[in-house]
Amino acid sequence: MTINSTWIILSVGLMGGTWLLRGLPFFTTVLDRLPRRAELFLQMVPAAALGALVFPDSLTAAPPPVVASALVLTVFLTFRRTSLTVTVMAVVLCTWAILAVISIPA
Amino acid sequence: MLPANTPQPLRLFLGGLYAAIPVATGYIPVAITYGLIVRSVGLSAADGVIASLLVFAGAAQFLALSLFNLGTSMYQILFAGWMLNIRHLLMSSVVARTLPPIKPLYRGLLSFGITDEVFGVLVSEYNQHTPVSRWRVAGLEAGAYSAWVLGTLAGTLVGEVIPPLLRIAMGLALYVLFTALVTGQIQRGPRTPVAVAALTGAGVHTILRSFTAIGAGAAVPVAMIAGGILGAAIFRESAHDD
Repeated sequence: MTINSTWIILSVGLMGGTWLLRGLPFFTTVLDRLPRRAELFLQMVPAAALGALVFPDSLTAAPPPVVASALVLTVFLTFRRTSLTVTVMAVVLCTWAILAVISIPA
Repeated sequence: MLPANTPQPLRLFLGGLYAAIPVATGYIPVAITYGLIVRSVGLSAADGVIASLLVFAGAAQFLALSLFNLGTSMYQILFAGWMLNIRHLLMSSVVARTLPPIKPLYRGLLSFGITDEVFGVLVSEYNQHTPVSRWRVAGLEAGAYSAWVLGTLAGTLVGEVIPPLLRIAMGLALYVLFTALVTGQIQRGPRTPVAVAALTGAGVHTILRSFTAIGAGAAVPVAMIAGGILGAAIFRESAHDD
């Protein structure tokens, strides 16, 4: 099995930068002395990040009506207190079924 | 059900592995796709698996693969990849606060696996005020990492055998996971500020990606910051109501 040395060096470089970015906040105590405004900001950032991670990229993962159905079902199941794992499994299976139905020629 | 004498760290680790199932469900089809593309650009299965073992950052790996195939210089690829991953600085800032004091070695190892999806699950647990053990984080990351690496291997070897429609449905799993996590956060409240932060993040990211030349690497951090600022502002104004 061949290995492309340029690709491996590139991967090592990517790993170094990525790990540094991920690890830096674990080794500084600056976060313990944050002003109240920054505390509030960090509390809200996760929701903002999750919103940004869903849109707009989810709309290109499948036909938009199918994506919309999957996300609406997800919100419904979450409000019904369904566990995360069951929610994901159920929505994936329903989506597969919907895709199978709509791809059947009329 | 685990035996009563199961050591607590093992229990927590296995709990983390269980929590990784939705993440792994989403990772596998993406990793298989990555493995397929690795082979299609002339790299070997070993090249693909080594990249996934070392980097463990899906978006950056896809970006690097694409630029590598176009003959872009290594420095440009590295710069683009690091910029794409700068969002992890912000994510790790949040996750680092959820952990109890632990040895630097553990901190270094756990920080390796803070991907978008692992971050989403950890943050959801943090918002529930559940103490997050390093063993649980390790289990979660081990599950996600295994799925990513094994999915890449599968893609380089047998990616074609998964039915295409199931592959598409599995590709939605990550977005389902994110949506479930953010819905849970809104449910737990304070509802208005969290919802405003989420909608702002989604809206700003969509606008930047649709109407500007900014790529995901820069757009996601901008959207995160915008949502965080607006959510925090609303939180202060509505603090007496929530």
